[in-house]
Amino acid sequence: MRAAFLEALLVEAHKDTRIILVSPDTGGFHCETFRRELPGQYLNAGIAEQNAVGIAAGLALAGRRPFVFNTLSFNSFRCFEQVRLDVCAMRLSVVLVGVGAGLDYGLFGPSHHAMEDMSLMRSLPDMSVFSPADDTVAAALVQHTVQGGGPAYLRLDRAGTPLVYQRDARIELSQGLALLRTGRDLLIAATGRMVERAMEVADTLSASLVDTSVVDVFRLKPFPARRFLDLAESCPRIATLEEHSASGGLGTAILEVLADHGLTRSVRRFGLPDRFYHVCGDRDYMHKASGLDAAALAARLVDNRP
Amino acid sequence: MADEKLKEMAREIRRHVIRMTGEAGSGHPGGSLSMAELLAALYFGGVLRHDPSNPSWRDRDRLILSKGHGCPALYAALAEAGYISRDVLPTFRKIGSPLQGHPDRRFLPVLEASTGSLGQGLSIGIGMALAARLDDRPYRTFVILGDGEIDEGQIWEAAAFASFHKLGNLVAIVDCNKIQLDGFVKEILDMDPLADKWRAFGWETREIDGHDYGQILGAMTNPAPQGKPLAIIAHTIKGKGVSFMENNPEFHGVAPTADEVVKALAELA
Repeated sequence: MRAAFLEALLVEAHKDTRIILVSPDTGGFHCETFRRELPGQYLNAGIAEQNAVGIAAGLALAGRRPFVFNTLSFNSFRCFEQVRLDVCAMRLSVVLVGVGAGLDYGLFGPSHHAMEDMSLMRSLPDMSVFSPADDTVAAALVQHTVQGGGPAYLRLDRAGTPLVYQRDARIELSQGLALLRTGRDLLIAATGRMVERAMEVADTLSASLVDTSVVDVFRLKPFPARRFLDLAESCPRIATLEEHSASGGLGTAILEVLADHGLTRSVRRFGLPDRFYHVCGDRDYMHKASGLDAAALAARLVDNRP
Repeated sequence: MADEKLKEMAREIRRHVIRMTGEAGSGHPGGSLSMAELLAALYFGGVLRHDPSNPSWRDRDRLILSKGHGCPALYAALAEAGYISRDVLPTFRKIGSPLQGHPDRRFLPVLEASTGSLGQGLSIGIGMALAARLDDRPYRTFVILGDGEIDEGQIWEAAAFASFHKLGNLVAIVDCNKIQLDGFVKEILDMDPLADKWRAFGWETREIDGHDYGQILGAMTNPAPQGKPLAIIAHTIKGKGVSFMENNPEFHGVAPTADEVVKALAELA
């Protein structure tokens, strides 16, 4: 996903010389092609994330279009104040690109596990929060954020995940979500890496005669409320699935929308538990340990047990 | 502007500060009064290349008040320069006013940046200075810092970056008024030897009396060696110009009462 994004950014940056890639020393290897081809549009700011975000704000004030490319947890937690005041409060066109969603850096320990970032970023006025499910959406977000302007936060994976969309698919990014599969009994709303998991779960459930819809919510803020409510109205049960703390992210956003619009539905939230992972394990291991593998999810959903 | 006129301009800025904070019943008079000469020199002493009739002029010099709480003095200077009306000054910190308690660019677009959370303005200034170089524009970027503010680690991230990247178009001015919120800098977190620190970070560093125009203008206008950012350590007196506010930590963030306003204005007449 990182590679697809950077490739798209390079293409766009050749056309739009306002674009500048700012990295607090976390992209060198992956940004090498970009740096070689467009040295004047690449800046390694050193291991100083707060300074990097401030510099990006100054560049934006002077008419540039900075993308701050960083390990996800450092792009959100380390420089939250700078993102809040320098970027959002001035409503600047700075795009924060974080790599390592959820437990993508599973083996790296709690410092690198990004479980609370969507909650934080969703709380910021004027921020747009994107969580793409695959390379196709991640790449398309380059042009989308440049054209849209304003502060944006992108939550990416390192590796290319299995494609949810065709590579050349035209996705209506302004819609904020996309319905991938239609069923009558259950609506699974998922985001990021978990969209593909939701499709797997839906396949498993169909064997148990649970007819399942899957919607990919790739923009958590502004939340596509009207479009989501249209889907929710036609389904009695909703499940939310995200690789993020079950509190503050997609599941919370959906509960808010339902409550604010007076729509009553049975909602199950599946996400990461409210604790740090003090175990050394890779992503799949941790998903299993948290009951987020497809088999466990399907089992919990088929008869609606906890 | 001649020296006498600059002196009068600093007094005018100080009178505005006293009236604004007094009228609002809140604000930060001490650190506003300490930098009156610095702002007068910048706006009226021929330091800043600027054009009040064209505030979005692409090649204007940029000024960021990183110690945002000193904004009453900045608003006063902007009014005297003609960027905003003098009539708006008494609305400082009042409902609906564009003059927020800390500089807010969304309310007042003539400001180069919103500030108020300390330690963040120098990085923004670096972004502007880099953009000037990338776009081959001649403008300079000035950032005013407080001597308490530079406790913040981000300042030193920025200081290292600016010299490494040879930002000769960047100027940091430290308003060294010796007092921070809770008291005297010397007793809280003394950063001495301050000039040595900036020099060690690779900056051309000039230490001056921040109330002496000869020294201020000399430091701000004499070019620094090629490719070196310039740090001006301006020694000032917090509350300068009002006897009962000078060197008094109580007036960091407390406005003068009505009686104190009358007394202060008499001293500044």
